[in-house]
Amino acid sequence: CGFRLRGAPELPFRSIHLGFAPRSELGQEVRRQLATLPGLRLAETPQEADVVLDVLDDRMSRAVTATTGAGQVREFDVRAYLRFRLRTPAGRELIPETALVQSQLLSYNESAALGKELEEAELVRDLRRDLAAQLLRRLAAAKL
Amino acid sequence: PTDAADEDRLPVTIEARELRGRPDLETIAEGDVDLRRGPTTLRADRVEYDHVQGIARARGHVRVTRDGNVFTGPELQLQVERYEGFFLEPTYFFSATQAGGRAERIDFLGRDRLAATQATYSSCTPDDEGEYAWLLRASRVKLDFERNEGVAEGAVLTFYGVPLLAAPALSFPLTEERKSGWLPPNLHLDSKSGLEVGVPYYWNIAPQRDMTLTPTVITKRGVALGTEFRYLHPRFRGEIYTHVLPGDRIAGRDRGLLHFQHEGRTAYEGAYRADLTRVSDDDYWKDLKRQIPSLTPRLLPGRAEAHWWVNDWKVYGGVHRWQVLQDPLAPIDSPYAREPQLGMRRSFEWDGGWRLDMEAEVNRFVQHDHGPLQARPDATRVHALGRLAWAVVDGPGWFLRPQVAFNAASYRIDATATGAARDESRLIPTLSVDTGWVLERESTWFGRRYIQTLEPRVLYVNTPYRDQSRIPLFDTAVKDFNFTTLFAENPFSGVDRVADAHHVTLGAYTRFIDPGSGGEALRLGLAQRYLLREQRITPEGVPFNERFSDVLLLGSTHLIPDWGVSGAVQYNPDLQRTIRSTLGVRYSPGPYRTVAATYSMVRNASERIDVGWQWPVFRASERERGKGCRGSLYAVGRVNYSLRDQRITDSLMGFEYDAGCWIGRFVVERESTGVSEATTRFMFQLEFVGLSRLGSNPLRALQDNIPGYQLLRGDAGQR
Amino acid sequence: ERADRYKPLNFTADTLRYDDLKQTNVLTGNVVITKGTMTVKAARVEVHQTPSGHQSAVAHAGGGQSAYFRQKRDAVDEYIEGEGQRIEYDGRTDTVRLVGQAVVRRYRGTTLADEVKGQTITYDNLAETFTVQGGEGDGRVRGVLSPRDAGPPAGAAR
Repeated sequence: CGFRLRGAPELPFRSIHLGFAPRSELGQEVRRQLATLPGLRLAETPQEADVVLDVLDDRMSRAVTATTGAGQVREFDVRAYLRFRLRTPAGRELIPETALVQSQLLSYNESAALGKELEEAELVRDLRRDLAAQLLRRLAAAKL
Repeated sequence: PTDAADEDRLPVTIEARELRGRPDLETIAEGDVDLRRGPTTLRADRVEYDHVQGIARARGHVRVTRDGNVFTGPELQLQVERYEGFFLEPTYFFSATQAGGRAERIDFLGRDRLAATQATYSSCTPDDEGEYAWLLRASRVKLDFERNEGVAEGAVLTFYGVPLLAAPALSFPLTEERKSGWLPPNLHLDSKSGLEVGVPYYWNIAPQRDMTLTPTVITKRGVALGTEFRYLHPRFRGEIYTHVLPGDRIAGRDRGLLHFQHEGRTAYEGAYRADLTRVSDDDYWKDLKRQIPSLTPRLLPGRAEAHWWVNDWKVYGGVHRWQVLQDPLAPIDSPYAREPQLGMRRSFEWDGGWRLDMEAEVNRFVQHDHGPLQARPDATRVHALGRLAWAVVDGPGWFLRPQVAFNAASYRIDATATGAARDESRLIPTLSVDTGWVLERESTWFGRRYIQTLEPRVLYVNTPYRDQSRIPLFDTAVKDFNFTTLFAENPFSGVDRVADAHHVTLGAYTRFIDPGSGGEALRLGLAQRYLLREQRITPEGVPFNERFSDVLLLGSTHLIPDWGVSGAVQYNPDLQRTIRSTLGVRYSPGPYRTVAATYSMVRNASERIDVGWQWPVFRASERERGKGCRGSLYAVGRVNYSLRDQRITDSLMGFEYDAGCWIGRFVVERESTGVSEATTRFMFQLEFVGLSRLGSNPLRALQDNIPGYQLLRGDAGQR
Repeated sequence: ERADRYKPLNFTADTLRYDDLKQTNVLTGNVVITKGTMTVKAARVEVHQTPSGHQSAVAHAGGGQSAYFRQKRDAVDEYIEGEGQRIEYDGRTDTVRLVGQAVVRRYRGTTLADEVKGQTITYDNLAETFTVQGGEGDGRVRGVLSPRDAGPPAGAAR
């Protein structure tokens, strides 16, 4: 039925500078996924890179979506956001400002606060793994 | 702008129909005179400049502009060096606050100070009858551009003609910098507390410290004082918020809240954080919920934690202690406190795809609120987690990652009323193999070309059974059933429970990728677990001896621009019934325009529909904004309807009217605070643009409860 | 300077002829006239002796070179300089009138203090007043005045 194994996407650039904050969890996941692509160099500074990834928004948020009658929270909407732009060091825009968001509902119970906190962290790590994969696909589709 | 000293030495350029004078004595210019020096421009019908006294007199359609500020009037006299003089019947407009007014007379008192008599100030443009939406009228206004402060004496603030506030002295900022002074009032109406009127006073102590004191009259309860102290330094920042309501007439006692937040950075890439919220009594969340910053109103955090990076070792420690607001009708088993938690983490990576993750921790778990259940023991736990993974293959098309992990913990459990002190310890290994492929092909749907992917994934997990029934749950909870947890080794979070397992989880994603942008248009996912052996430790607490787990099906799409549909279904093949399902539709064509509806059902537990929206009811075009009543009205809100109880459990409906020069917010929030008890809150707030750049948005509820809600004017708090 | 009135007037030019009908001397071809601290340069100058003994002169621009006039101010180390299509000097009223793209500059020592441009500029030497009438086109007068006691304008080399 025409499916074939996905080859390494040939990126239209040889080196990239990632604008993630140091120790950003999403930044480390993007670096890990980029490392699987042969022949791509992560540049330390924007000047020495072919392209520069400006990270405009890299955060998670949590909103209450269900409560009981007695002021107890029963569900959160957990979101991970990434807003980015890809440009050349000179400033020519390659990918316009793009906002990606992945969300997941997380059930909650005050009694399980400690455990739910750990589960939320694992959930956000997975949402960010998904965002990183989407970012990679968009970088591969960039036109230099 | 050039600084004052340089400005004096700048040449003056003059343009006019005619120029006359005696060099170094006087110069007279007539006919549409245009006089410029540095950033200042003066236009008038006639300008005389007396060089000896340095006095400039301008008459007829005088217009002075500087850095965007505009002054106009019939006659101006100004001693140029000392910047002293007067302006008759002037009008003025400040670019920083986009506001201005007119006065009987302005006296210039030096380079950066002037005083106006019988002055008005507003950011609105007058409507046809010359009426201003809001207007500040004062007998005398002193403006100090150096301290960026305007002080109005004998001020009356009128809103559509209705005097709203009369103050002996009212100060307002001339630029965006924060400035001490009274801010316009916050008004709230609450079915349990009555009308609440607070007039905040903002005190700009120092560039990096400020305080807002808000004396508030709560009609049914008494007088309260809210104080918010904020500090911002290069290496740390924080805020202390207190709300004190002495002698609450309804509760018959003093009520209070303290919220302390602090975060800072240290050497070794270290960071430390404190976040404490405490309230005076258990019913605080019912009566004064708006004051509680935490998302869980009945579980108030109290944590202090710090971490450092010492050459790739993350060393961390902390204390977490909760305040639980108990309600006999709906008790909460309060979570354990960690007093303290100390630990360190390290990851190693070697060539060939090897990765070792290690974590070691000591925790002292203490139960402060034993509540109605039999005593839950305190304990000290030492645990170590290890995981060695080998990415045999980690390519874009295929990955194979076998992994060995262990969870070792030993407990010293204190004695309780029903049991003696005891020690427990166990070590539970887990073997897992995670592998997945990514297959692609071109395919066209509805006439558009996509790259369709097929991403099968297989996770084999083998964990021996270890009896953990004598170990209480300290930081462990049952995880939800979703794609993330299906492809995780343990269905419990935390350390205290490791489920025995010998199963294979099979799953597959298919995505439609737009080749042009690489964006994902549609994704569908399917996953199920096949058990090779009965699972004795299960989330439900009962051994599970079926061969197949529930099936999880999920999907989301942005095929249609601006529309997003997503859903998930958890289906039990044995019962042939759906255990849990959610379906969400979201329409969001642009900023401030979102409507989202979600149906979610958990069998035998809840079935409800949530609708959330932020939508402009009508929008005045940019041109009309600020003129009279033609502004933009936004409707904001969320409604939760429980299908099981056939009633609205929570609803929050708000209107935000942005008339350009003022913003009105009106929100009705109805929240059930008991099986049949509910609180209805009305909140309305007026913000005069240009008068208080610091219009705080008390309706944080909007941000906390409507996923994707966007504040109208950026973050009103720190504008 | 006022003393210029009593100074002798001398001139150089390519040609000189006397038009006895108008009783004026007509000098043509890079004419240079000096009288005390005042100098006039122009393409053509007519010097007229009035019956009452006052001299008046009209200098005309020509050949792409505007008529030029320069004089030192009384008792002050300042110089007034002017250009225009035509410069008229009236000895009786001791006034200079520049007509057509007229420009007058005032120098303090060697630094330019003020400059005004317009259609006609009249400078009364006795009363030491100047008047600038609207220029052609938009009928506007333009001037740049530097502060009296300041040193060189801020923009100059610091």
